[in-house]
This record gives sequence, structure tokens and C-alpha cells, in this order.
Amino acid sequence: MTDRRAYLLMFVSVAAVWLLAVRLAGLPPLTLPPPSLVGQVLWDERATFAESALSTLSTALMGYAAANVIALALAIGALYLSWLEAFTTPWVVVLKNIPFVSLASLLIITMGSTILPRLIIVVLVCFHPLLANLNQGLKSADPVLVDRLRTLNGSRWEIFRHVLWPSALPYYLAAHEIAFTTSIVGAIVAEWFLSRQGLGHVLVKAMTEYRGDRIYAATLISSAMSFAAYWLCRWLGRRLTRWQRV
Amino acid sequence: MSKRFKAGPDILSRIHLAVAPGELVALVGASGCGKTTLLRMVAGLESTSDGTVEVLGTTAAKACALRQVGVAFQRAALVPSRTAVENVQLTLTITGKSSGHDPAQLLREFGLGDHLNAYPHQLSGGMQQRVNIAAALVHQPQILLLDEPLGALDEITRESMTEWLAGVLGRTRPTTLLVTHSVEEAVVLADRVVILSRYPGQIAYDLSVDLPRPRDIWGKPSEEFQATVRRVRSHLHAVLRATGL
Ligand SMILES: Nc1ncnc2c1ncn2[C@@H]1O[C@H](COP(=O)(O)OP(=O)(O)OP(=O)(O)O)[C@@H](O)[C@H]1O
Ligand SMILES: [Mg+2]
Repeated sequence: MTDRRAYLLMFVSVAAVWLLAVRLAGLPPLTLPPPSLVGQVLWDERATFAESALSTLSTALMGYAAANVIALALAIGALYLSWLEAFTTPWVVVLKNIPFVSLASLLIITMGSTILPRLIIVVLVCFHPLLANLNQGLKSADPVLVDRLRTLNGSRWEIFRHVLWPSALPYYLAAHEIAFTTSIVGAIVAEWFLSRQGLGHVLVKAMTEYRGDRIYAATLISSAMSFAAYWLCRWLGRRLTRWQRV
Repeated sequence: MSKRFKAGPDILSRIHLAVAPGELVALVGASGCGKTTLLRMVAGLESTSDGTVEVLGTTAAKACALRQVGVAFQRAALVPSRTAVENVQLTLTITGKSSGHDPAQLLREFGLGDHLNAYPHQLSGGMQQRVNIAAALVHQPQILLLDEPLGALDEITRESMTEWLAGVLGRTRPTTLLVTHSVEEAVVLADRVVILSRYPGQIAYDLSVDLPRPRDIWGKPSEEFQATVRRVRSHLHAVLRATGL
């Protein structure tokens, strides 16, 4: 419950600072809009915002799903194919260290404004924590326990199901808390670069038109989405690893 | 047979040990002399460097395929997301045996009746070890390998568990290798006590224990029992002195 109070305190403080800043700064309303103006634009342009948010969310979700498939395939594959990890690690490390803004620029000039480059960007930003945590989780399995099941003639599948996967699960769930929200950020950045739709596009357009109210509105929506994603992952994660806290 | 890790020195050397069906052999020896390694080799988890290990008339690895091996290692190895009773049940699930003991009943007899549905992290080290032993016995294997199974238990629990082990092993009579640091425990449970020396681990003494069963010693140890304990202990000390410990 103190958790909840801390969040409440934060929201109240942000609102207070915002109102205070609007009063004290004396900037024009479209540069630093008061909350009422942002509420107004959210309501007036609700159809556009909803459509944009949906578009961003679907890009994020698709990219996120793809990232999960790739990370799971690589992590589980590496358990049984010893060369796989050695082969993919350099790729993963190098890709992670190319600034993804450069990659985004590269993708737009080669692929243009289709959904594919946006998906690739989302995959690139959120796939790494998933893979790293899965790998670590699978390695955290108790080797003595694995040995014990081997003496019972447990099959690879049984050992995976009863030992390796339960060990990896808490790590994997923790990765979702990070990666799922990252996928939304990734989708917005991708749209910012190469799209005529989505919240990223709304942001670029609002910026060139000096529409502070729209920037704030888009920020609120994307933060809310990201926040909701975070809480959803946390809630699911806690349900699935309830045994850890009894 | 003998055992080296990589190009290292022999850990175990010229081990020649035959255990008859239904016999219980206790292995004692200084820390690091290779007792765990020996057990792992019998369990098919470690290869031999020279010689062979034969279990149930076949190789150690193939013997595991018969699902007739039960192992409790030094450190309890339980699935953290399964309760005590589920951990014991897992052995039955994997071996596909529906006969054998009833997991809940077994745990009750181990004094864990109030903790059947506790997760490993909610159990003390000694309790985890008891679950670990239950998981090794529940499918009534023909071969039982116990590596200091009572190591983390307090004196009192240890005594009652030893008694209980003697009871259950006496009934089902699996062929058992038991590693222990307690000479009393070895003499209560074993048909033979094998003392290993160190660097390399070799069989220094192979002493048979010819005492009538049940060997109820915690009440009033008999003269013979005490004499046997003294005999084993003096041999053990001779070996430890000879290897500089
Ligand atoms: N995987 C390994 N690689 C290299 N050396 C090992 C390995 N496992 C064990 N050893 C060595 O083998 C020797 C015997 O180890 P082992 O665990 O069998 O001893 P132990 O008799 O069970 O000792 P303790 O009573 O302390 O459990 C030790 O010197 C140890 O360093
Ligand atoms: Mg040992």
C-alpha cells in the first residue's frame, strides 16, 4: 500500500509542479500549456489520438512478439546446440552497440516508410534484455537438480520443463517489465523517423507546428500506455511466481 | 577403476569395490578424498578414467535408464517452485512409477507432516535434506546412493532419521552406497564400512559390521556395538594420520 501512496504522491507533485510552472514561467500557452488546455486538445482530437495510439501499440506488440520468438529460440536453442550461442553472440553484441538511431536512419533510406523497418527497430530495442535474462535464467538452474533428474532417466524435455524453465521464468518475467515498455518507446521512435502515423508522427508534426498542447497530450498517452504495460507485466509476473513470496 | 579430472592427478585410484544386491556399504574418509566423485561415477554422471563401473549388470549410464537408481546428494536439490510433496512426487512422475511409497506419507514419517505444502525456501536446511532423501527413496529404487544425507541435521533429528532410515532400508533392502562422516551412523546402518584414504583416494580398509539388526543403539548401545565403533574409528584415525590430517 505504501507503494500505491508513493505513486499517488508522485502524480500529485507532478500536477502541482506543472501548474506552478505554468503560473511562474509566463510562457505562451502553446509552449507550456496548462493541464486544462491539454485536456481540451485530448478531447477535441480524441479520434486522431486514439488512432495514433492504436497504431503505435500494434507496432509495439508485433515487434515485441517477434522479439520474444527470436529470444526464446536463441536461448533455448543454445541449450541443445552448443555452437549456436558462440555463433550468435558476436551478432547480438555488435547489433546492440550500433546506436539504434543510426540503424533507424539506415533502415528508412533502404526500406522506406513501410511497417517492416518499424518492426525491426522495435525488435532491436527490446530483444536484448529478453535474451540476456533468458540466458541467465536458464543458467541459474541448479546443476545438482539436473543431475538428479538425469539419474532418474529424465528426458531432455522433462529436465527442461521441470527444472530449466521454472528457473528461467522469474528472469524472463523480469525482462518483460523492462522490454515491454521499451517496445512502446521503440515504436514511437520508429514512427518519429519513418512513418505517417502513430504517436511518434503526432509528436514530430506537433513539434514543427509549435503545438505544445499536442506534444503534452501525446506524451501523456504514451506514458500511460507504457505505464500500463509495466503494471500488466508486473501483475502477471507476480501471479506466475507467487510461490516466491508465500 | 580410477578417476582423473582433465589432465590432473588421480582423484580415485585402483578402486575395486563390489557391493552385493541388498547390501549397504558406508563410505567414510577425509574431506576431498573423492567420495562424492565415486558416487557420481556409480550414478553415471561422471566417466571413469580407467576401468569400468558396473551397475545392475550393465554400465552406470544404462542402469539409470532402468529407473532403478535413487540419489540424494550432499546439498538438497529441490525444484524451488514446487512444494515439498510436489518435489517428492516429481520422482514418481519422471520415473513413471505409480507403485512405491506415498509421497505425503513418506514426508510425514520424516517428521514433515506440517510442511507438506511448504516451498523449499520456507524449509530449514535439515528439512530440505529430508525432502531430498524422500525424493531419492520414494520410487523404491534397487540402487540407492546417499551422499551425507543427514549432514545438515541436528544431533537429535539425525538420530531419529538414522533410525528411520535403518527401518525403511531394512524393509525394502536397496543396494546402498552411503557416504557419511559419522562413524556411529555408518555402524548402525551398514553391512560394511569402507574407509578411503586420500591423494589419491584408495580403499584403505573394508570392514564388515556383523551386528544383529535392528541395532537400536540410541537407547542402550551394546558392548559389541561400541566395540565396532571403536574399531572403525581407530582404523579411520590411522588412515587420516597416514595422509597427514
Ligand atoms: N569437476 C571437478 N573438476 C576437477 N576436480 C574435481 C571436480 N570434482 C571434484 N574434484 C576434486 O576431486 C577431489 C574429490 O572431490 P569429492 O567432492 O569427491 O570429495 P569428497 O570426498 O566428496 O569430499 P567431502 O567430504 O568434502 O564432500 C577433490 O580434490 C576435488 O577438488
Ligand atoms: Mg562430498
